[in-house]
Amino acid sequence: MENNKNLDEFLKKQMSSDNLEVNEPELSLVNEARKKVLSRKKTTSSNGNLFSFLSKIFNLQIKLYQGGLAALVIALGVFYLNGKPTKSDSNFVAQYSNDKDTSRSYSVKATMFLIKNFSSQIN
Amino acid sequence: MESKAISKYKLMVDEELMFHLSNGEVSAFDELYMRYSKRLLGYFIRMLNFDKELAEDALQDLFLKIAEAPENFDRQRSFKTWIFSVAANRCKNYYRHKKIVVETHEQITYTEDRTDECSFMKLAAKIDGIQFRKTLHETLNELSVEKKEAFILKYQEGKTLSEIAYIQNCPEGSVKSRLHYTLKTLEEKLKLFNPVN
Repeated sequence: MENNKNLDEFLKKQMSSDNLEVNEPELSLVNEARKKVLSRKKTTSSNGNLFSFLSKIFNLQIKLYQGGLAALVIALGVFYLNGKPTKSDSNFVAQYSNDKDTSRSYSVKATMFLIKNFSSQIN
Repeated sequence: MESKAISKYKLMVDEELMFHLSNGEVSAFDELYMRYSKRLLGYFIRMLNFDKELAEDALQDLFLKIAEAPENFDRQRSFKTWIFSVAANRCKNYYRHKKIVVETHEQITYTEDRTDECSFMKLAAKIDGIQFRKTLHETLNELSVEKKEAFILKYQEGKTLSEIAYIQNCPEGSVKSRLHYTLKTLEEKLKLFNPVN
């Protein structure tokens, strides 16, 4: 059967799709399928973003200058918040300087001295 | 921009297009549709007894299945063989549910193992092309789904025996005997036009 080349060619010619007179099917025939493909894009892209974000964190894909900048911003924020004396802080300092006579121990006195100096510098 | 995307997909092989399709690239899907829709429609038309409406429904279902679950495609395999195996399963399901043809038919009896090319061609030459095709289609419609399918895949789609064996999920020997049986049946039918020989 494999050697019957002419017969094969003849049958292929008779069975050719050209004899069927089939036109190119329209793309509108598969609109539903196209929508399904598009919906896959939305799902995969949102999952992909989350995944890439997590992988960036776990792989520490953060550049050195980004880390340095972040540390600087945090440090400035901390200094700014701690350095600014509030009303309650002033009261606290005043209360401790007034209570110096009542304090007996050396370490407490030393602390009082430091606080007093600190508050006078601020004022 | 869009034309650039289209031309990009035109250069890709089917398996690459399937990868992009699974990532939601509709242009990849369109390109695969452009490549295979006409051939598959022709296949369905012959398999489903020339019912064009039914063939279009089958084509629509097939591409919907691909869009819904592209991960079913094994990337180690050839896409063009795989898509025909999906199409073949679609036809088998249809035959199973609708019982489109009577599966039982009279078994032909023949003595020679091989199909004699000369005698077959002589018989075919006695009738015109249109009559031959009509006889061919009648013969195919009387055969079982597997025999009809093997014949269409070989002579319409130009598939090799191993490809048909993969599509039909059977050994190559079974494909050979299915094709041989179909040719013999066709030969017997052709003899009716020339009873002297």
